[in-house]
This record gives sequence, C-alpha cells and structure tokens, in this order.
Amino acid sequence: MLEVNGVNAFYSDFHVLHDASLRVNKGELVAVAGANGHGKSTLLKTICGLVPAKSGQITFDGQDIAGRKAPHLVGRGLVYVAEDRRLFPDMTVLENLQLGAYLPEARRREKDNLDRVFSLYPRLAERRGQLCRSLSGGEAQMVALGRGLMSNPSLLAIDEPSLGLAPNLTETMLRTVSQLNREGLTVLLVEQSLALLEGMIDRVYSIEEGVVTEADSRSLQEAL
Amino acid sequence: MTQIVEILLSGITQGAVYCVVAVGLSLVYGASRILNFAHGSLYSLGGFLAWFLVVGHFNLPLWLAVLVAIPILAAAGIGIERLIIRPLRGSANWKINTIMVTLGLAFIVENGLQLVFGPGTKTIPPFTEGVLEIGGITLSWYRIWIFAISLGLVAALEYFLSATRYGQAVRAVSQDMQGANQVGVNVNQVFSLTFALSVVLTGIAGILLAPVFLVSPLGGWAPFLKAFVIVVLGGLGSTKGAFVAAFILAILEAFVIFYIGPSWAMPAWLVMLIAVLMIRPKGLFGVWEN
Repeated sequence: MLEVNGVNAFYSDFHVLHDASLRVNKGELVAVAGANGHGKSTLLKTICGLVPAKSGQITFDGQDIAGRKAPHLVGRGLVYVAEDRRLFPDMTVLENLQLGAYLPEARRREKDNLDRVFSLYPRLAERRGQLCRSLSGGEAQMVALGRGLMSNPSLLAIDEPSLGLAPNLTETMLRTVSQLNREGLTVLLVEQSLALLEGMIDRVYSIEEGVVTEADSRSLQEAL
Repeated sequence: MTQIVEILLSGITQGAVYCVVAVGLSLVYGASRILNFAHGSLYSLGGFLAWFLVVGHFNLPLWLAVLVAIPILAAAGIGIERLIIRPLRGSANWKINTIMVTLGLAFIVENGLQLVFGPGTKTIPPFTEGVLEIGGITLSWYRIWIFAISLGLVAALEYFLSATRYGQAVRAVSQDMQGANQVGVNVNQVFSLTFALSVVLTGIAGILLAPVFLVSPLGGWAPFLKAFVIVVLGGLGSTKGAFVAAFILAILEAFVIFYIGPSWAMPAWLVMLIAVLMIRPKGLFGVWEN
C-alpha cells in the first residue's frame, strides 16, 4: 500500500532522513520507533507531503506521490495526525471534526464518520460545542485522532499519540488505534517506546539519526 | 439631547463604513499575517473606479457600478497576492518584506491613479438624496443607505466565515496553517481568497464614500491609518474586534469633531488606542499567537 525507497529530506541544510525506506501493507499496523530528534516525525511528514523529499521514491496505492503536497494526499486517503495535534484552538470540537471532512471525498461520508467518531469517543459528542482551546490533553488527542478519521483515511499516519498524556490515557488511545486497525484501517505509527505497543503491531522499524532499519522479530521482542 | 443623538447617529453610520475597511485589513492579517500597506490605495482605486463608471465614461447608476467593480477589485486582490505576495512567502524576513512591498505597491497605485485620472479630486453623485427627519433629528438617506449596505457586507462576511465550509477553512488557516494543510485545505487558495475579499471590501467602501468625500489619488492614507488603528484596537486579525473598535472610534470621533474640532479626531483615537493597549496589550479581542 505504501512503499518508501531511499528518501532523503532536509531542514534547510540539515540532512535529517538518510535514504529512508519502509513498507506498509494494506491492513497492517506498522510502527517506527526511535528516540527524540532522530527523524521520526520528519519521516511521517515527508511521507504525508508536509516536508519535501529531496530525493527518493514514495508510492501509495501504486502511484508515485513524492513531491505531492498534503492536501492532495489527504484526498487520496493518506492522512496525518500530528504529535502536537494541530487543532484549531478557537473553533469548537464539532468544527474541528467537520474540517477533517473538508475535501469532497471525505464530505460524502461525513455523517457516517462523525457517528463513528462520537461512538468511539462519546465524550467528544458531549463537548461538541466547546472550544478546543479549553480541552484537556487527552480530549485534544481524541479530537486530533477523530479529525484524522473524518478525512476518511485508507492509511492513517499517527505521530506519537502518547506525547504529553498520562499512562492510562495513552493506553486507551493506543487501544483505540489497535481497534481501528482490526476493523481494517492501515496504520503507520511513530512512538518512542515500543513497550506501549506490545501485541498491537505487525512490524516495526527503528530510526536512528535519520537511518531507518526494519527490526527482525528477535530484536523486536528484545525491544518490547 | 437632540444634538447628542444626532452626533451619536453620525458616529454609528460612519462606524459601519470604517468597519468595512478595517475588517478587510484584519481578514488578510488574520489569515496570512500580512499587513497590507496598500489597503488605503485600493480604497482610492474603488473610488476612481466608481467615478470612471458613473461619471467619467459609462454613466452607470452607482449600484450597477458597485456590481461591475466587484469582480475587477477581486481580480486585483488575487493578482496582488499571486504576483507580489506569494513569491515572498517563506523567504527570510518575509513579514517585513511584505510590508515594504505593499508600501511600494501603495505608491505605484497612487501614482498610477494620478497618471490615469490626473492629480485633481473627483466626485460622484449619490444614488439617493433627501433627509429623514424624526423628532427633530435629521439624517441623510444616503448615509442611512451606506450604513445598511456596510452592515450587510459585514454580516455577509461573518456568515461566510462562521457558517460555510470555505469560511471555516479561512479561520482554520488563521489559527493553524499546518493543521489546515493536514485536513486538505489549499492554503494558497485561502490567501488569494482573503486578499480578494479584502480588496473588494475596501474598494466598495471607497465607492460608497465617493459621493460623501472627494476622491483623490492620495486620499487612501487617511482611511488606511484609521483602519490600522481600528484593527490594532480591536486585536490584530480579529474581525469581531475590528467591528467593535470601528464603532467605538467612530462615535468618539463624532463627539470630538463636534465639541473640540476635526483636527483633534486622530489624536483622540491614538489616546484611546494607547489607553486600551496599556490595559490589554493584545487589543480588545486579540489572542496571543500560538
């Protein structure tokens, strides 16, 4: 479904991703693990069209998408959920979710997807009229994930959903991601700690100083 | 008492027009963080466009001139954003660069207007005459129409921003550009749209006020300066703030002009601005940027 081959990405002159390659098959939940500052977020942003790839190939559903910008990719089902959530603080929970279905492709399924988000997170239904500025960290993360689902993704790229959350909220969040994956959603997930992902993931890549390597099952077990 | 009510009404009707000019300036700043110093010269452009269509060449009625001017002003806004502003975006110091470039554009528009229409002032007839008298209070019908049209424009803009998906996208871009990108909003399109709306609003204000004040190539600086003070008082980027501040300052202006003199109007505005900023440095409705 997603194939990344030899991708290099830079911030100004700083070389962040070095020939990064990975693969995500349809229906899989694939994780990328690594310490802070090693390029995890840049990898997801490059795949999702928020950071330009200087070289290399990215194919999604068989089509070359390297150089395509985020709005185009969202329309094709490749949706990014940012680690810092990137909500619209002075808009309500409902408006934030509605904006997830901004493009015509997602708008056609807006009502169904909204029902699905509210059934996943009944608390968001209760707080639909509340400004996102006033939400707690856990609620904001629910809106971020919900907004991603409103875009009707075929692959959801989630950047460190545990960031800033208490352990019990992190567990709930990851359980939801796992449930979505079991229901058929393909997920590419970035996390610092693999211990949180035990029993959820199909495959894992590690990233160190911008170099991505696929971890074999033994090293994965050790990491877990 | 009648006199005070008349002054108050004069301030309120003037406030509605200030509001149209200021909301346009605020809209662009809110969405793209660009302070458009050519905003006033585009107000003058609206006035000259109306003169050209109503008096100069085509003898159109004023209402038709407004309808003809809207697509021309919108095209000017899109052209400015695409050709002048967009190439600067993302460059080092782009905020300062866009200020300098829009300042340069103001001079180009002004001098262009002088070249085409000459340095003298122009005037156009209002589309309605006569006065309304109620209980000894008089108000010209044209002023009442300007007030109604201005409020209508601001209400339409507010409806667009709050109740339509495209308006939501404009607000989304103003609150988090990357977040907007992530959900599929084409940010460049939003920049063009806000510039177009802004130029249309200030241009229409220039047209509506052309029968009241004279139209001149350099006549845009006063409305720009006023719009700037309104936008800062209301809170940079807040259209609601611009709306409230426009009425506060216009009513203040009406009283100062009547009781002290016209030359004290701007000093009074600036004193009010300083006083508010000392208590609320972000303006009445401004929010700190994330």
